[in-house]
Amino acid sequence: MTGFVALLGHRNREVLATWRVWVLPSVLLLFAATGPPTARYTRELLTWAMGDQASLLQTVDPTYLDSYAQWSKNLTQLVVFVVVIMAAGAINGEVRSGSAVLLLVKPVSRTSFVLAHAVSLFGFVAVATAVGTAVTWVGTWLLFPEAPPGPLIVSTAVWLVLIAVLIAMALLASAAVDAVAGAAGIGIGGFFLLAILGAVPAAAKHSPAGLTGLVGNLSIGEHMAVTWPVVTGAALAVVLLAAAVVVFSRREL
Amino acid sequence: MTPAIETRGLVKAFGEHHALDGLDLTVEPGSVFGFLGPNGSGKTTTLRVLLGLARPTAGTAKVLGHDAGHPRIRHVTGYLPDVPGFPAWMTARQVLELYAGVFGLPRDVARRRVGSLLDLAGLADVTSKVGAYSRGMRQRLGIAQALVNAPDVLLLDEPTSALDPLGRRSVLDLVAGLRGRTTVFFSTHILSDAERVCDTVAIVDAGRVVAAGPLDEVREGRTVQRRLLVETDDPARLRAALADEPWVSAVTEGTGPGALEVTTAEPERAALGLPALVARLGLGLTRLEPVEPSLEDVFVGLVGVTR
Repeated sequence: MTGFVALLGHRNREVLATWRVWVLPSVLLLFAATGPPTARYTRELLTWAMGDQASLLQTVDPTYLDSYAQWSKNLTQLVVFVVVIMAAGAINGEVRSGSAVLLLVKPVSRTSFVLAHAVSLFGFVAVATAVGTAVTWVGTWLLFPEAPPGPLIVSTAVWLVLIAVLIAMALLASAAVDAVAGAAGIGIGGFFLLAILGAVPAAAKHSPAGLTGLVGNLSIGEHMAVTWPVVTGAALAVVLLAAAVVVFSRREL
Repeated sequence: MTPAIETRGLVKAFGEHHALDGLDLTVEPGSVFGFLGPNGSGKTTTLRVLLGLARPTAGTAKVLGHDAGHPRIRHVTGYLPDVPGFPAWMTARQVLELYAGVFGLPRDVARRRVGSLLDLAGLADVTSKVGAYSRGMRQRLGIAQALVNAPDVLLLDEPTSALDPLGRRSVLDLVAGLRGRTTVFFSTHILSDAERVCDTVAIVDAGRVVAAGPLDEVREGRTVQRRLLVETDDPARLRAALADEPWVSAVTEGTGPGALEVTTAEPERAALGLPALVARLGLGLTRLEPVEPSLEDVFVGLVGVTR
């Protein structure tokens, strides 16, 4: 882990000094700010858009759960792609530009190089998501004063486990593949694979494949067993990161 | 004394192609070592192996007695690649502060060293981001970062290739100033640069060392063709007559009025034959002297014939 602390500081400054500091928080804040009013005023919006025909649609009264479901849907259907693309260019981008070589001929181990990317990126995503979750809850509470924060927090926490798996997967691809598009394709492919496997009940219950469905179900207040998917998801993230370290350590630069 | 750099039978193969094909090299501590060779001869591959960025297929490579790639080497070496890459969002000062931090330099030492290296690189007053730098500015920053840990061994890959004449001169002066304190391994194909600062050289071709040793010895001992400068009152007649002499390889215009440079593979025969020929033609001989062989003569003699 030689050079890890110096490198982690560098990564964090990089996040703040580049486009990354704007893209992900902007996406999350947009979803956080628009989700609650969209959930609350869906019926009114439909009436405004469709006129008398809107009365033909059977709609139930909106609740805070609609707002929470909207947030979890945005996380699992849109934000994951932004994060995977960010991670997919992390290692190979620096190798291609030559900046990785200048670091790695100094007292910086390749393990530190990979892990600093992982920790910095996950920390950044976690902080931005926490802020987005808080904004979502405040917006929901203003429109639905009875809204408890619990389901939102739990489902977002489970989503962070899913995103840890996807970051590790994309970093492994970034360590192994030169092209950012190729690495992003592997990361996105991994996400779809997990989602497809999640349709198999046994896999959803006992493996990381259940994480995607779990996020949605927990957000609407359903009580689900989270232990197996969360523990196996965290373990898979660790294994994928270890694989990224091994692959990058064996790679000639 | 342990050599600063030593390779024995070093081989690096990429499939069928051998970038290094049994490279033997010894670099003494404190020397400024010129590693010369045409493009594709294996210079950069050698540096990559020495730095642990690539693994040798066979043979050994050591830096300061440690196997190439040993973590200890990273603390005592500085490296400038041929095209240095920096994060585009950083300033030169931030880049050097980052690397000083990676080496764990105490804060006050880091501050002083970063300041002096920025002065050295002529970047002290530049506040723009590295992404906006010219290639020459990047190269100068690359040299500064290679010195941030005051290395025992400095590995430079084509350090002057992107520099203007003034920048080139300051880099060569800097390298010359390190002699005796730091071992400088200077890879280049600009032979005049090597002649100016190197005390020892190796010429590499197709992954093998074809000549190595102190600069003067390589220049003298490996020269296949010699040149003689002859100055007469009628160079045109002399030139025509030289065309019939079997010991003449080539005749070119010399510098100065009436001067010719005669290239020969038989210098002793030429030294006798030239004055005799001038006398036979009835010309006035004003100058006859050997031209000091250049590294380029050696280089072309050793590797040029096959290209």
